[in-house]
Amino acid sequence: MWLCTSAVRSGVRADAFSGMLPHRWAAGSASHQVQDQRKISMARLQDLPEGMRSYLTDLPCPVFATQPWVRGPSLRDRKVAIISTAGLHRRTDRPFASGAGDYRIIPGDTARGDLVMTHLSQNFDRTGFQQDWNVAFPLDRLRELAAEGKIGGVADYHYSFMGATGPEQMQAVTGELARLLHGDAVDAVLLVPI
Amino acid sequence: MGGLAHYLEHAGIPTTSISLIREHSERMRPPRTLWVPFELGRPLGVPNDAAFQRAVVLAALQLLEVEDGPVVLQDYAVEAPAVITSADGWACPLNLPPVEAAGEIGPLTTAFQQEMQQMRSWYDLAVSRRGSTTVGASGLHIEALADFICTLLAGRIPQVPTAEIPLVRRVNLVADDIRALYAEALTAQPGQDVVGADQLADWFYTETAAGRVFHALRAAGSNREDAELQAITGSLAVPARLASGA
Repeated sequence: MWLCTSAVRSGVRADAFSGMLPHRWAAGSASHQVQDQRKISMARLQDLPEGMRSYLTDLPCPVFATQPWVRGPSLRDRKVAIISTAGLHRRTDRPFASGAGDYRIIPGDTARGDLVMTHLSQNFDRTGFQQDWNVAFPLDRLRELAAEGKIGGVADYHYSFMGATGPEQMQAVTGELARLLHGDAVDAVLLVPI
Repeated sequence: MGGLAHYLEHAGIPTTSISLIREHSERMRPPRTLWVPFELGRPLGVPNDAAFQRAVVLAALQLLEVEDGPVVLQDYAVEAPAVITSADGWACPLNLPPVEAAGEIGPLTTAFQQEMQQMRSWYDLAVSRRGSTTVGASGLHIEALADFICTLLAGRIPQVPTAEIPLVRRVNLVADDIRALYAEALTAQPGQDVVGADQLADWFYTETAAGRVFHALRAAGSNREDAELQAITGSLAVPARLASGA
């Protein structure tokens, strides 16, 4: 079935805010605006600059004939891995090439200072990641959830692909990636874009 | 991201995805998706806010317990706090060396080198406080970054540690390291950690000597007789809206 729901955390649909002015047009001082926790952010297509909006609107997306759905144990018993498409890798690893469909391995004990991003697009914010890797690679958050018993554990290995790569470019390696994840006893993958 | 989720699920791995572009998720229909209304580049919403990030991660993971498959797309209703934008009248607190909009390459590169030193103090403080840096993907030491770009601007091919990375790619990695150094230095200053990406780009490309050097490098590239230099300098990425220079 096709299920489209609204987050229940606040009980308010995201589009309930659509009547607000985008924050860049709103009146008030910068300090006031920074304190405002309910400003419209720029992830909605209609809020993006025209060139970027057209690019994203026209981007080909594959349509799949099947819709696989794999069940698993309760969340508190699952081992979770992160897969990012931010072009992340260890500092000593090879930088990604544009459009590459290969991946990099990020061991679970990688220190935050050892992770860099070589997805060099000018079209997304980098300052968040520069200040805190968890904004794109929430490994610390997974560790906390595991310590609290909300999830069963954190994978020993995580992975990253290059961003702005067509899904078909990645398809060739997903079989081997699945085997690696099975080998790590992973039964939940959190996919994080950039 | 939606395609990757489909392929992994097909291979037997349960997935849940965060989505920044809802329209793409609607078209690709991956198994479980949490659409978040955050800025591109910030899928968890806010840096240095563990509680906010934790709530997003948990909301995405909880989709694994939804039984109504095979396609679930949920909207995350909480907005991220605003960042400072161009319209807010923001100004960089540092007094950077003055740079003429156009002029001799010598004074420009000298101003660039001085500016890098000025940024370095704040950058070092940022690294000390955060315990990490994103600078370094180019493989060059920080001290060598400015020299690399200035050598190119002078019309020579810089020496690099290894030839493993194509020079065109290396130039953009070096440029990105410089931008990251400036961003990390700036956001370490009091009250500057909420400067938005657009504001930061405006500042970098219109107010700093580094930005002027990047513009000069791109402009010089089109005049080079050397095809390799022309290709290298012409590849330097600058946001389209700022590509015309200061």
